[in-house]
Amino acid sequence: MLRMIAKLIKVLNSDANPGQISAALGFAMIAGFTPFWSLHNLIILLLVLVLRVNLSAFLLGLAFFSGLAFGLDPLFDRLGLWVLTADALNPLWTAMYNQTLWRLERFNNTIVTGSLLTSLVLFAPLVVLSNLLIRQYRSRVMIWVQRTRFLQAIKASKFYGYYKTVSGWGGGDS
Amino acid sequence: MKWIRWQGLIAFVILVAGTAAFVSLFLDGLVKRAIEKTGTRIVRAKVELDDADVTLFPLGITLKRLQVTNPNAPMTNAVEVSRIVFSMDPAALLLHKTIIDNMTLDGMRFGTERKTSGALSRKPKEPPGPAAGKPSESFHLPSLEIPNVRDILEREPLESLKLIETVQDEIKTEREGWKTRIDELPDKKNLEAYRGRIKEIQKSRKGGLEGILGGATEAAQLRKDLMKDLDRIKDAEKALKKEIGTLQKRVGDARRAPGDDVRRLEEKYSLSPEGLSNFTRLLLGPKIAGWTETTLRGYAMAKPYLDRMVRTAGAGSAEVVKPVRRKGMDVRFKERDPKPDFLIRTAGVSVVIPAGELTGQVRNITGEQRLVGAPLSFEFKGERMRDVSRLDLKGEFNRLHASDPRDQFDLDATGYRIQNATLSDNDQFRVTLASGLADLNGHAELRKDTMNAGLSAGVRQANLKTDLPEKANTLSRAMADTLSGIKGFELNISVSGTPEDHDIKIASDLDRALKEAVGRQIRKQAAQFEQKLTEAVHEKVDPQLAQLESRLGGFNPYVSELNARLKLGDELLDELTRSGKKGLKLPF
Repeated sequence: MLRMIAKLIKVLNSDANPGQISAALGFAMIAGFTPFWSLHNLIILLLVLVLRVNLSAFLLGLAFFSGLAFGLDPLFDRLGLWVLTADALNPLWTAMYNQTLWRLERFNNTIVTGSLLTSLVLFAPLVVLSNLLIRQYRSRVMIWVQRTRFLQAIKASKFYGYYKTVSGWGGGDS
Repeated sequence: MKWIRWQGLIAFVILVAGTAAFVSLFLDGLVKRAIEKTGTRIVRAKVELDDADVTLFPLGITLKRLQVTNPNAPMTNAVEVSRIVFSMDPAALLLHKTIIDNMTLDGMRFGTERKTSGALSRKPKEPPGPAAGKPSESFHLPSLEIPNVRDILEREPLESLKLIETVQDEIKTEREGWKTRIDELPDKKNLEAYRGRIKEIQKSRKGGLEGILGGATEAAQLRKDLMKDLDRIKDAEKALKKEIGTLQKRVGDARRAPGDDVRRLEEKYSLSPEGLSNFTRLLLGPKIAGWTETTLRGYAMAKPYLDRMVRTAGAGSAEVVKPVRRKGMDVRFKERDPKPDFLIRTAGVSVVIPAGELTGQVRNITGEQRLVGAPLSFEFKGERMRDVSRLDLKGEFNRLHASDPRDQFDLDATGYRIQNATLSDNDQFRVTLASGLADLNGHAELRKDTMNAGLSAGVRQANLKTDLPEKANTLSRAMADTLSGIKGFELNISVSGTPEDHDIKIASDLDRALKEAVGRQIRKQAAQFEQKLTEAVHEKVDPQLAQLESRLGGFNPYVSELNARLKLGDELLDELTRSGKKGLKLPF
């Protein structure tokens, strides 16, 4: 846990572009909310690797959103069931059901569809909001935090040791 | 800032290829573990596989030595198959459908021993089965020893004694009644008084015309009075004789009553051969009921899986299935070319049973028979087997119509060599078919919850052996002798009802042979019993009966008394008549 917090602070304090971090968080939300072994996650993985998004932020976000998904699964389940059984959408689902690619995607599973729809809807707001927050953090909070006695105390603690340890990690591409 | 990093594409390719290589490298192990885990969960006992070999081009699997533990006997495998080979349709697999056109199962065996226990560490839940139903009947052969008649008479009240007592009371009451009635009738003293009046009339005639006329009037009155008294006595005599007749009839009933007692007791404690009219059921019933229960228990275990065959996927609009916690639910939509999720079109099976090897085919193994348009069917044949000349076994599990599930089985076996088959394991009368050749023909049908099954067995070259305890009774010995001489018999079993509550009917020509043989013994013993019982009953009843007859004789003095009074009355009438003829002619 300490390592993760330290890593998050490092990412936030790094020179990485806020857009790279927020995009990583957006992709992490899709991969974390939806069942891991889904076809669309292969595409997410490809995008994360090919697009210059922050990998550390993606991995952190994946762990966070996967944990959150355990609590949200009942909600995804209900949403997915509602959407998949909506009469108006039945022709669409039926057409997709008869195509191999979509069957591989397992779109007809309530949790897959519920979580995918949720994460797709939340993707853009999350990216925009996190981008804004990172910028605000760097311009205001980061300088103030570094001056606080609390951070001074942390720097003198074991926690700071972890920070120092991870500060040497990769992420140069970030 | 550049948004694309091309080295990421290389990383992606390496990652995907690495994962694919890893999976294909360990695919055999993954498949093996998946089969063992899924099978164990379904059977609730260990399902083990020696090896699984997966080929990708063409897509197929070979499984070696599949062992499915019997959950009720963990040291035994319910089924063991030496080798299973099948190939799958890869296009269908992408649609999450397992379609197997041909499967081969070699060396299928039932009830093989396991080296280690196949029980799970956690106690499995009791599988569903038919209700306990009626407990298996046990039986006791009736004893052929003559029952002790003294003991019987001590236990059983005799109806004849009760009747004698009642008749005695009736006689006593009637006698008392008649004594009072006779006392109330004119007695000899009263009648003698008429004689005095006659003499006075005779005297009055000697007193002139006036006396003669007065005497005539008195004589007429006297005759009238005397006739009235005599009529009363005559009526009483007639009633008494009638009463005596009634009582004699009652005494006659009492005299016949001991005979009725003997018949009743004989019937109750009797050794009639009629009781052995369905001896086969008595003897084989418990064993056959046990076989039926075992068969039905096996069927009940399979039934939940068979009942899943009624699913009607893709028939209409969206259908929600498989509610699994945390895994969501799969919604099924109408398919253009509907295919079942799982289908084995043909499975060639070789089954090794103690009698030899059976080969056959099982067709249309699927959970969605409606999509295939045919029921699950099987057909096995065995020829020139070690213990059977010919064996045909076929049947089907039909779930094409959810509201009308039908399962049926047919068995036809010729020359089935039977050795040391226990027919009855009753302690008092153990019967074993040491050897014999049987021709079997059976049919069973289960429709909804109604079951009808029948099995005909013709056994020839039979060698029946019985094992009796040292203190076996005469009947058991007689039956054992008869059975040892029987060289062939027919047996017909029919089962009807529901799996939970069924009726088993057993018929055999063994019944006739045993009834004839045992009947002779029984009749001989029954005659002795009847004689002893008759003697004992009469010994008890005869003194009472004699006493009863003597009491009936107590009415004789009453009859004599009434006769004497009537005689006296008649004499008086004569005397009156004579006295009238001697004198004046009386006006009567």
